[in-house]
Amino acid sequence: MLADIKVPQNSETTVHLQNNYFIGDGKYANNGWLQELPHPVTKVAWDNYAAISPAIAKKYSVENNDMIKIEVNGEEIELPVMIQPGTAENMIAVELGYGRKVCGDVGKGVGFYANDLLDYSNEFANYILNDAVISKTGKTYSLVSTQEHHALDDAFTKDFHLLRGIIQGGTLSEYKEDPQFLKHHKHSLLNITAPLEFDGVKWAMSIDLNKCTGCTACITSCNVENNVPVVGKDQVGVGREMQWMRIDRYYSGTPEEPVVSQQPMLCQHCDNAPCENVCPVNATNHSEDGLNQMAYNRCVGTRYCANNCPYKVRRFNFYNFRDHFADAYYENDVAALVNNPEVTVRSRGVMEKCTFCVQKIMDEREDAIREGRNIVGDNVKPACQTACPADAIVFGDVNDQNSKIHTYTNHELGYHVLEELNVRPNVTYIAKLRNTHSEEV
Amino acid sequence: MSTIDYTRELPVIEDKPSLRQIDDVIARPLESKPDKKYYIALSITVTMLMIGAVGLGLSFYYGTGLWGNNNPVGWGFPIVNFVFWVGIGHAGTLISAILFLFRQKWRTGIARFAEGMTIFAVMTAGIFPLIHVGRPWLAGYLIPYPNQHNIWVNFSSPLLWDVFAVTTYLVVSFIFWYVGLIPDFATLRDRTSNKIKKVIYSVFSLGWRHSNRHWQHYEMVYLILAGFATPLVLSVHTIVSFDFAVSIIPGWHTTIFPPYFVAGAVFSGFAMVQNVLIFIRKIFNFEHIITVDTLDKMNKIILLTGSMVGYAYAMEFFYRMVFRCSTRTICVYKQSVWTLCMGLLDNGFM
Repeated sequence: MLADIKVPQNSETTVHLQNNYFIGDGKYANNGWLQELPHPVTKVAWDNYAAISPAIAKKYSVENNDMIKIEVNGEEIELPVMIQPGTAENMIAVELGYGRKVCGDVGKGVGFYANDLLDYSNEFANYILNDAVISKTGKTYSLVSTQEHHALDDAFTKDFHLLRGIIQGGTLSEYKEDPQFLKHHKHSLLNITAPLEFDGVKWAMSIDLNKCTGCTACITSCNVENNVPVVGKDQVGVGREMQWMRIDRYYSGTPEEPVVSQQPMLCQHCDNAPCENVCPVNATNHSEDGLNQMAYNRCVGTRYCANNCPYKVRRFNFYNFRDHFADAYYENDVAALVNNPEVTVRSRGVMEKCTFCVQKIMDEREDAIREGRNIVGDNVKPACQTACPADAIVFGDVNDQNSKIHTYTNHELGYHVLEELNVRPNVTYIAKLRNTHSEEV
Repeated sequence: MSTIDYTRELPVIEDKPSLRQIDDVIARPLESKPDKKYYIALSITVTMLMIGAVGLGLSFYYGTGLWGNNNPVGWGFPIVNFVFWVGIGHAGTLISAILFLFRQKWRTGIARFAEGMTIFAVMTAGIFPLIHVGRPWLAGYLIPYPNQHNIWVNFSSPLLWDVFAVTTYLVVSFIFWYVGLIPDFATLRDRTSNKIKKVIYSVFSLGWRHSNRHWQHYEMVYLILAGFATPLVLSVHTIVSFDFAVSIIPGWHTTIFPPYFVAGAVFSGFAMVQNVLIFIRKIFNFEHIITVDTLDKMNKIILLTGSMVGYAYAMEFFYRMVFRCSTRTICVYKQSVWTLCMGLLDNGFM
């Protein structure tokens, strides 16, 4: 049977069709949450595209957003280009499931219909098409993404995330030699005021970058739990996506062999939160159990907090996103039923951000009071944690010596992002260990 | 008057006209029907005002999203405008207070006008934070008033300092302007024969009789107010710059901001006074009251403050170049290098 599969022989270019990571073959195309999720690697939302290698891009002198025509087996299709470092040379990856003509309000006409290219002549390999001819059309299109595509060969931005210690890590052999190897560069940070004391419960989170694959399940879960609105392609394009979490993707290495680092980024609930002291109306403040809280009713919308947030995790309702779409989404009566009644629906002009799922914390507090016991931090599982298939996210009471989060927070590989700002974040990232040694041997 | 003789101090007004003659010239726009030039100028400004009103209406109706801000760039056009307009206002106070303390006589021709511009500039500046915030109808939360929520404003926020700085500035500028106007109102009251006008001018002139005693008190009050307003010229825009300098954003967190903002404020404020003054002296035929010599002296201040701003731009550029290798924060500013170059060039032209 394997012999039946056509092996590419001197193929000029090969097109690889694949189901979209979120909407599959298009069956979930009408789900705004999924449409708006940024692709784990390209960070593009609301579209499909021809992901090509930097080598092909150079050869045909195309750039991101240029339209190319792909001709294969007598079929042709026009797609925007997305230069994807690490794509095999002479390979074009195209996702299916987009461009549905019959669909609901959300998914109709989103992206490009690529199913025409499917080759039914071959039983096994109808997703891999050889001898594709591509040509430049001269037209352009606008793909929207939630993260910029850092040029790997740009001297200014190259390895920026490593130099600033946003992504920290090492190799397994380094760790085996000296488990404290990350801690050697740490400075003790000075404070002119006494640090805040948290006597009772103190909530904290830990994200293990070794386990995180960047699958973005946490984002969806967070959207659903916290009534995060879908804003549409136009608003994502101007940088107004509302997702409380994002997964930052960083490249290092070379365009041919990029090393990809994924990092879920959410409100760090800093002890010295820079957002809190700049809010003129005290709409964001600190709770005694270590949460950085938002009082939506009090928020005037000066956006100073978002400006002053070093992690850029605050989200502003530039419009009333629930009626921003005149024809779709939230206008449907059933759309309102999707909202979580435990969480306030935010209106236009209000800042919002990750709350550490404060409603779940309150549930646990109610249970504890009812049962006459202390709050058990491990009982609270925020939406992102419940959705994480790799169990990379741990949440709990860091003051509880026996809790899992206590171990993680004090882990030898634990670090805080932008620690040098002395904002004292409460999200601890566990540095990634890459097993490069075994590859060398 | 094509060339100016710099070797002698020019009189404020050539030919030494009598007070009566000056009154005649200054009061003419208020006592006669405006001519065609005035209506042309008015139609242009009213058109601009209408465009602004439509813009405001749309902004209130649809929301802040129309301003083009996004998540990393939370502040944009409105805050730029706020800073600009507050800065514009500084020229009025500088001309009327600081130049008064330094006994610069040439300010008399333009002082009242510059003060008026200050007040309107600060009021315009007040509009922008209001439309900038997401929920303008709740902007009252920025005022520390006792309320049933038991929530106080956050005194550690530079934005709140702004609220105090700008309102103080508006109030002091207004009082200063009004105190200066009292004898003028009295003059107008004495000249008019219209009953309604007479009543209005009488109310505003607070019983001024041009007596020696009145003038003595007036001079003292004016001096005190000038002394009071002078620190405001420096403090208001310093506090506005704290919005940026106190934050932790790389590139904003800079000690050069306060002097840079103040210099920029005086720079642009004087330019704005001139922008309007040049038209006004033509439209109302004030060429011999607001002389080219006055404009020339203002130009010198523009040149000085412009150079200070140019220096600040150059320093920003310099910092980026120097710290590029050490801290690597430069990448954020890579795109802004062009903007800085353009700013520098623009400054040179001014």
